[in-house]
Amino acid sequence: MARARFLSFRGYIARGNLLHPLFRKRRRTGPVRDSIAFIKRVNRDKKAPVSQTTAQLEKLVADGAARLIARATDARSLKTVDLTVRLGAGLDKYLLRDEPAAAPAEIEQFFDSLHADDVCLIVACERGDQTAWNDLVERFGATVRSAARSASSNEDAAEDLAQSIWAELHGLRVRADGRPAGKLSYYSGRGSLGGWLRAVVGQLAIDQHRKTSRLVQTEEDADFDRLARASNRGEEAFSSAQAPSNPESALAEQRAAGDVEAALASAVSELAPEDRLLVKLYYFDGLRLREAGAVLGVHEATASRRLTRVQAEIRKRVEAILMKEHGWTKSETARTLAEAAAHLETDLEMMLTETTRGEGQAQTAD
Amino acid sequence: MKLDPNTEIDRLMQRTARRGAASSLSFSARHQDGGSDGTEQQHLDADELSAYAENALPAAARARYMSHLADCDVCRKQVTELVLSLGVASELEREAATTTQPSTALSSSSAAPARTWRMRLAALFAPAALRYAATLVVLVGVVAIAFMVFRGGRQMKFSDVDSGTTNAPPSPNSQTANQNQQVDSDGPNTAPIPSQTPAGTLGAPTSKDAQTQPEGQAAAAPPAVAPADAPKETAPTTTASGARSNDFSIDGQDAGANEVAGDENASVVGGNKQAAPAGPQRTEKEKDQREAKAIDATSGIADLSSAQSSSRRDADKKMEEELAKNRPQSPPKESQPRARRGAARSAKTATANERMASGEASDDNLMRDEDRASTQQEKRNVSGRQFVRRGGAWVDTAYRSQATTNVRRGSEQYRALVADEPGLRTITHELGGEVIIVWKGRAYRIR
Repeated sequence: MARARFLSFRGYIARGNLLHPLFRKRRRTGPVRDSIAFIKRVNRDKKAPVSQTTAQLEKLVADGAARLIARATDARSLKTVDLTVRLGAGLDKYLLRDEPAAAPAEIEQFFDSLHADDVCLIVACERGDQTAWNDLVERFGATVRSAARSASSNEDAAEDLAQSIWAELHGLRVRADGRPAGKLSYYSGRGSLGGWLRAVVGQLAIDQHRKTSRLVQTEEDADFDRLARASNRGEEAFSSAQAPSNPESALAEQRAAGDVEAALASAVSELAPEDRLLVKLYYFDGLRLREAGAVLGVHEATASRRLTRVQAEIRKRVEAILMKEHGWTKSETARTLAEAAAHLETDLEMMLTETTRGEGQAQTAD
Repeated sequence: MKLDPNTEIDRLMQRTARRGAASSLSFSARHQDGGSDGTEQQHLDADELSAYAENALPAAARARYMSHLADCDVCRKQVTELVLSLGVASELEREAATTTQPSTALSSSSAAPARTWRMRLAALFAPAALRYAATLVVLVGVVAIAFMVFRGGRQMKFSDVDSGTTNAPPSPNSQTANQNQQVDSDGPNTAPIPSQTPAGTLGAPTSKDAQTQPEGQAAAAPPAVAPADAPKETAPTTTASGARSNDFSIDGQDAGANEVAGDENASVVGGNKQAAPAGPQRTEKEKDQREAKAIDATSGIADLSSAQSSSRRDADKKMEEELAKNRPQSPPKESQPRARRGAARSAKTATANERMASGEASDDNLMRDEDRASTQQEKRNVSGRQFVRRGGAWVDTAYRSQATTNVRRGSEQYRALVADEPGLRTITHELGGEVIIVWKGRAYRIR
C-alpha cells in the first residue's frame, strides 16, 4: 500500500517534484490546489500539524501573488497563477517549515517582503520571454562578470565561468512543454536577484574547482601541504627542544595541552549556534570583527561584546570540563591555561624557525 | 606577566585555529549527523545563501541556517564571500548611524520606519561641513549680541553723564547774575564781569568788554546750537575736560571768547571748543582737545575730577606768577590805550587762566555737586573762619545771601583788595576756586 502510494502521482507530488509532466497532464485541480496539497503532504510526512486550512493557505498565497504583481513596477504581463507555485514553495521553505503555526499576518508580511520586480523578471524569463532575458543580461551582466572575476584566478577563467552561468540559468535541458529547465526556478525572491546570481556563480566556481582539483593538484596546494608537514615537524621539534632533559615533564605537558584542546573543542561545540558561528568566523576563518559581525548581521561593536562574552563562557566551560573529567583543581586549571597561553608566543617563533628549516629539508628530499 | 582570562582563551583559540581546518570541524556541534568533512551534509543552495547574506530571512529560518553555517565550512565560506561582496558591513554601519535598531528580515523590505524629528535633525546635520557651519553661526551670533549689549551699556552710561551735567543747575551763577549786574555798576574800579546765564548769553556789557561782546555773542550763538547737534559727543567731554579745553582754547582765542569760555555752563564751554580758533596753534590745540576728549571719555568722571584739580593747581600757580609779573609792569590805564589793550590782553590771558581755573572750579563744583549731593557738606576753617562747600563754592558761614562784590582773581581789583587785606589774600589762597567771604561787613565773591 505504501509502495503503491509512493509510485502514485500523488506520491510523486509528495516527494517534491511539482514539475513532473505527468503531474501536469493528469492534474484535475488548479495549480493553487496543487501547491496547497503539496504543502499538506509534506507536513503530514513530517508529522507536523497543519496550522492553516487549505482554503486559507490558498487564499493567502493568491492574495500575496496579487499584491506582488501590483507592487512590481514591471509585472511583465504576469498573472497571479504564474506566481503561486513559486510563492507557495518559498513559503514552505522559509516560514512554515520552522513556524507551521504562522499567523496570516505573518504570512502576508512574508509575501510583501519579496523582491517583486526580480520575481517577475525571473518568472518571465522562465516562461521564455525574450525581452525579459535581454533585460536580465543587460541588468546583471556586470554583476555576473564581477562575481566570476572574484571566484577565478584569471580573466579567461572568469569569462568562461560567466558564460557557464548564463547557460546554467537558461538550462540546456528542455522541458516537455518546450521551456528550458534551468536554475531560475530555484529563485524564491527572498534575496535580491543580484545576490542570488553571485551565489550561483560562487557555487558553480566551487563545483568547477572540485572537478579540476580531483585531477590535478595545483602547485599552491602542494606548497600548502609542504608547509603543513613542516609546521608539524616544527611543533615536534619545539616539544623536544623545550625539555630535552626531562621527558616525563614534557610528556605531561603534552598531555595537558591535549586535554586543554579537547576541552576547548567540547566547550565550543556546546555553544549556541550563533556564538559558535562567531567563533568559527573569527578564529578559524580569520575574519575581522567587522566582517564577522556583517555575517552575523550585527554591528562590529555588538560582535565585539558578544565575542568577549563567548570567551568568558568558553573559559568557564573549559575549567568545568578539566575539573570534572580530568580531576584537576581550580588552581591547576588556571595555571595550566596560563602556561599554555604564555607558551603561545614562543610557539610562534619556534614554528616560524622550524618551518623555514623544514622547507629546506623538504626541497632536498623532493 | 599574567594575562587576562579572556586573553588566555583568545590565544588558545588562535593557536588551535592555526593548526588547520581539521580542528575547525572538531569544534562542530556534536548533535549534527554526517561526516566530519561536511561532504555528506546538505549544503545551502544559492537562494538560501543569498537570502541569509542579505538578512532577508525570518528569524527562525535564519537561526536554522546559522546553525548549519557554524558547522559547515563550505557554506560558511560562500556566505562570507557574499556578505563581503554585497557590502553588508558598510550598510550595517550606516544603519547604526541613523537608526537605533538593526534591520530585520521581515522589516527589510517593508516601508521605511517613521523617523522622529531627532533623526531628521541628525540626518540634516550629518555632513560635517554643515555641522561646523552651524556651530560657527551660533558663535558669531553670540559674539554679536554681546557686542551690542556692551555698546548699548556704554552709550547709556554716557547719556546718563550728559543728562546729569546738563541738568546741573548753575544755581549760584543764576542767582547772582542779576546781583552781579547791580554790583558791577557800583564802582568804576570794579572789574566788569558780564552776567552769566545758563543759556550762555551775555548780560550787561561793560565798557571794557564792548568790543568783545559781539564776538562773545557770536561765540555764544554757535555754542547754543552745537550741543544740540552733538550733545553726546560734547557733553561728557566738555563737563569732564572743560578745564583742559579752556586751557587750550583760551590761550589763542580772543578775550571775548575767553570771557564766554569762563562760564560754568557746560554747553558754553563746549561751544567755545566748537568755535575753534584759526591758526596752526589752534589746530594743535584742537588736536589736544580731541585727545583730551578721548582720554576723558575713557577715564571716567573720577579720574577727570582729579585731573581738573591738578590743572586747577597749575592754574593757581600761573595766576600767582602773573600777579608777581604784572605788578611792577602794569601800565597806566588811561594814557596808553594800546598798551592798555596789550596789558589787558596779557592780563586777560592771566584772568583767562584764572577764569579757566575758576571755570574748572565751576565745572569741578558742578561735578562735585553731582557726586556729593548725597554726602555731607565740606567744611573748612581758614584763618578762624568757617567755610562751607556749597554749590561749588566755599561760602563763609557769615554770609547771609546779601549782595556780593564780584572780584576776579588776578584782576586789579583783586590785587588791590588783597594788598589792602592780607588776611583776605591768605584765605583766597588757601581756598581755591570760588569763594564767598564776608569781609569787614561786605560780601565778596572771589573767583
